[in-house]
Parts: sequence; C-alpha cells; structure tokens
Amino acid sequence: MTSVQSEDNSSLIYGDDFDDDDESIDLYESQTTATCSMGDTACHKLNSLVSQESEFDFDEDQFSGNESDDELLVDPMTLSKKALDDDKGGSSLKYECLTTQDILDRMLKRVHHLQPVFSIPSEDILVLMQRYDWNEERLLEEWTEKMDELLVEAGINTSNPGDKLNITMRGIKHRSDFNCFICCEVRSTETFSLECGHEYCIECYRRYISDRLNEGNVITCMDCALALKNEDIDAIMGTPSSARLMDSSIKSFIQKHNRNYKWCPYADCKCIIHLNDTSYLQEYTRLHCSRFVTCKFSHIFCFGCGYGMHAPADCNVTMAWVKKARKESENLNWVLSHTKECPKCSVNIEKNGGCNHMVCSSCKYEFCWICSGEWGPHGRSFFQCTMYKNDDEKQKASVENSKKALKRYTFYYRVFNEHEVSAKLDWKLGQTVGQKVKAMQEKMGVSWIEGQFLAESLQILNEGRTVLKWSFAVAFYSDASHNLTKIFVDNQMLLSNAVEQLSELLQIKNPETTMKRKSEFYNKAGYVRNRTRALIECGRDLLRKCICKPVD
Amino acid sequence: MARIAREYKHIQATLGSESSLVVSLEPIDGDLSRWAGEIRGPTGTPYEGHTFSLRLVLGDRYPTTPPQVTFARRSMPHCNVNYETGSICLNILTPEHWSPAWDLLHVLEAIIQLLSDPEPDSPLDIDLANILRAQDRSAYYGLVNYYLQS
Repeated sequence: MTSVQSEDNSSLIYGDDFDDDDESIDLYESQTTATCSMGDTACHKLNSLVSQESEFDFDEDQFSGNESDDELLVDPMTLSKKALDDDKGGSSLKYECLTTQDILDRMLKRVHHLQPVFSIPSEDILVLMQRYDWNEERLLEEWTEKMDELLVEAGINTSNPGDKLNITMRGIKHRSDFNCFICCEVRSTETFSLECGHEYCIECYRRYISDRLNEGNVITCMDCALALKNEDIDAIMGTPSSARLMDSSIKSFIQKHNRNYKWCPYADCKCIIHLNDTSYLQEYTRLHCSRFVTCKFSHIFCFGCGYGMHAPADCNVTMAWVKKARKESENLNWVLSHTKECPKCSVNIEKNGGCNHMVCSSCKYEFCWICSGEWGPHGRSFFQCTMYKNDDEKQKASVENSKKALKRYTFYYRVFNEHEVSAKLDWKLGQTVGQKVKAMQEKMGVSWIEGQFLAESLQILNEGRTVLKWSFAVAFYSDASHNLTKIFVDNQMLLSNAVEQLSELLQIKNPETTMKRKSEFYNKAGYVRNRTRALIECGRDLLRKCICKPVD
Repeated sequence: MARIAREYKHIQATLGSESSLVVSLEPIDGDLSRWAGEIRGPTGTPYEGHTFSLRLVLGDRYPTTPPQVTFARRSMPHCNVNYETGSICLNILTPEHWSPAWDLLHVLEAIIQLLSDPEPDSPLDIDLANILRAQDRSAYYGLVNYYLQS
C-alpha cells in the first residue's frame, strides 16, 4: 500500500524515497547543494558542528529508543555531509539536562572549593554567592579589592566596628513575658535574634521569612542589614525551609542567565537545559534551522525560541504564527469546539482518539474530522482536505479581500488546531499503549523488546503530527503560487495520509490483532518517518528561498 | 491588633511638637485599618509651606505586609507620585523591601524624605523625572509650583 502510493506520486515526492530518474527532483537537489556551498564559512562551520551532534549530545542511556530524534533534529542536508566532516572539538554543542537541585549542588561544590580562598565559614560564602548572583568571578574580584566592605554589604559583619557583635545573642532563646515589638504581644515564647540583638518572637520571624522564601534574595534581620544564614532559617522555621530559598535563588539565577539556560516548556516538567556556548545559535537562525533539544523526559523543544518542537517552521515563523493566533483569537473569539455534528444524522460526536477517520456511532457514516467530507476518497488518494481551495478568485472589494485573508487564516488555524488536539489525544493513547504492551506480555508471552514497536510507532506518530501541525504555519506564510509551495502542500498531504493510517493502526484494541499486524506497524511507521523528514526538508527550502516569509 | 493599638498610643504621645513635619496621623472614624495623615512640605523644597494629606490602608497582615499609602488625588506633583491617583513609588512600601520593624511614623518620615530627594530613575511622572534628569532645578520648581497653585 505504502510503496504503491509513493510510486504513484513520484513527481510530488520530495525526499529520500524519490525516483532517481525524475529530472525535476534531480534539478531540485542540485539547487539545494548549490545554496549550501554558496553559504560562507559559517555554513560550513555549522555543518561541522552539527555533524558532531550525534556523537556528543545524546547520552546513550537517556536517549536510546528515540534514535530518530537526532536525525529529525539535525538539518537533514547536513546529514549527508556527516561523513565528510570530521572536525574535532565540538564541545560547544554539548548541552545538558539539569534540575534546580543539580545546579545548586554544583554551586555548593564551588562554595566548597572557594572556602580555602576566603577562609570564612561556608555558610557565609553561600550568602556572598547569593548576593553576587552566583557569579564567582565577580565575587572574587571584589573580594580581593575590598574584603571588609564586602562583608558589611553582604550582612556578614556590621558597618560599625564599635558595635559589639555578641555571638551569644545569636540563636533561639526561650523567654517568659517577652514583649515583641512587631506583634506587641506580651507572652512567654521562643525568640530569635542575630548578633545585632534585634530580638523578635519566633512567630513574627516565621511570618517574615515565609513571605520572603520565594524571592530568592538573602534574608536579613528585620531591623538591620545582618544576613540570616540557611541554618538560622531552618532553625526558626523548624523545617528545612532554606531549601526553598535556595531553589528560588537558583531560579532567579536561571532567569538572569536565560541565554544559556532554558526551562523545558512542557507542563509540569522541571528540567532545565544548559547550553554552554550559544554563539553558534545565530548561525542556526540564519540557515532557518532550529536548535532542538531534548530533556530527560523526551520533551523536544527549541532552544532558540523556547517553544516546543516546531519543524519545519523556523523560530520567526513560529513567533509570527503564535502572535497571530493570539491576536486573532482575541479578535474573533473563536470557539473551536471539540465536538462536531455528524454530517449525515447530526448526532453530536466527540473525538476521543487521535485519528481523523470518524465513524458515527449512530448512523455508521464514515467521514473526515477535518473537512466533514465522506471518508471514502480519503483512504485511497491523498488528502484533499489539507489543501485550501481558493475558489472565488474574482472578489472585487477590499473588504472582501480582508474577509478572504481571514478566511484563509481561519482555514490554516483550524487545521493546525485539529492536529494539535489530535496530538494531545495521541498522547493519551500513548498511556494506554503501555498497558497494551503489558497485556501482550502477559497474555501472549511476548518479550519486552518485541513489544517495543508499539511505543516506537507512537513516538513516530507524535513527531509526524507535530511536524504536520507546524507545516500549516509554514504553508500559511508561503507564496501559494510558487511551484515549491505546491510541492510542499503535496508533501503535507502525503504525511497527513501516512499519519492517519498509523494513527488508525494504533487504535486497535485487541492485542492479538496488534501482534498479527506487527509488520504493518513497521511499514507505516517507517513511511511516516520518511515523509516527516521530507516535509521538514521541503519546508526549510521554502524558508531558505524566501518563499515563506512571516508577516504580521 | 495589639500592634496597631500600641502604635496609636505612641503616635498620640509623640505628635504635636512644632518641629515635626508630620502634622497629624489618626484612624478614620475609629477604624484602625484606615488612617488619614497630614504632612508639611520639607524646607528647601518647592513643597515648603504646603500641607499634603495622605491615606494609609493597613491590610489584615500588617505589619507583616506594608501599608498602602497614597496622596490625595491631584495634590502631589512629584516624579515618584502619580498625580492623578496619588499612588507612591517607594521601595520600602513594596513587600520585598518592607520590614515589620517599621511603623506608620517611619512610613511618613520616608515619604517626607522622598519629597526632599526625588528619585528620577524610577518615575511615575515621566515629565517631572525628565526635567530632574536634565538637572533643571528651576524648571522643576516652577512646574511643581504651577501644579500646587492650580
């Protein structure tokens, strides 16, 4: 089935499964190469950098099972050059996936190393580091210049040496009939004060500290500039609360260094990607590629713009699209409901799976979720419903034009959104796939490795859908009359078709049927992967040749 | 509540001296969470010879959180005060910089200090801040006086 399709449309196919005899493709390929060799040293540099990605970046343990990632993420154009380029020393491309705790641990290690230099307690160095936003170099510089002033500024010593700092004042004490200046209650209570002797009841101190834990700044005495250390905070709060302060301090550190540190944008994911050398990121932008990174939990996102994986669109298209979507949704207040009426019997249908092939549960009518048309023709030829039909071309008034522009955008946004919703449903499907694999192992004695094809297929399906989704943003900003755009749209349809077929396979509930059709899974998944790559490549060329230009 | 009550007693005991720039500070209609204050413009500033009224609102969590302080609407031309609403931009009045060890009199003193030392780098009134940045003191005085007289 798959191979028949690719042969049928060989003139439209763009990518690694094209027919060698086809001249237009050959011509096209040579153009691509020309663009690249024309590109200056930067282009070459990028190629050489990118070519090392797979060697350096992907920790085998973490990334096994999604080997397709690096192929998908690396500019496919450069992949072929991999063999040619074997430059050494691409450490700048290394990135690491961290948590705030990892970063804090590193900072603590550095504090430990600094301790002999400063010869003051580690707790004091921690306060200094916090004050200097964990910038060791700047701290050391100022330390050598004006050590005493620094200690006063940071609240480790008082400004007036005449003030007798009384170590015995520091800490928690128990007092009967203590009159706290803050709350003005007289009672017997625990109190706290630093060496300065500004003593307040523990309740007031707790309220004061808990309000400040999330700010990430050094907390001082309520009445002077002396700093509370982590051990003081924990002692006052009675719980290890200083961890929260450290966490927020690290968060503000990340905020200040957001060129090198990026939060994973996925909901509830606490990963931070650290890229040491960002100098080459500009080269990515220039070549309309994006630096996609993968966190510990296989969330792929763009280091450039911080959005989730958005190939074939580059960051500019993504930003323009997201901005437009936000603006338009304000203007129009679209209610894109998640239910649709069956085109035949008007029963309300909720889409509960990722596949766009709908079967009405009441009248058994089969239709396409995207275009509401009959499903029949969808399966055999490619999707007509992903192609925007520009039928009334002879509109006169400008009002009509803007209406048309809106209609055009509405169309693209709708398809984009449909695929987003489908992708989310696929994600849910993924959770049941895990159970399915388990069921198969128990019922049929299938080994873990043999059941893996399900998870792999799902991963490929997800990637395919994401790429398909963003390809509509690229299509929206592309010059529709250009031949390459037409090829791009054809590629979209092929991927769309491939994705739907794979999605349908994954809906099978019976594990025995699934096992029987295992080879179909392999075929379809492989096909989706090829089509995905081809669409990315084609989209990038649209961008390179300025056929796709984001406008507001 | 004990804290506010004690502050009230303390304020009653200290106010009334001729030298203080704080003219009055008392709860509105006996409600200890809403206070009205009056201050004199400090000498050597264009505000000298004028009195200004302020309103202080204490939240439930006072003194853990700072009081909200505003000038009367359209009464205070100052680069850190919004002339229309009377809201004040002063760092000790923000939750991050506020300390429970300060009280309402401290707040009024800090505001008087702000009248003497305007901070054009965090302005609410951009025009006045620009004049100050240009170090045009006479223009600043002139403009403030114009506002105060109208």
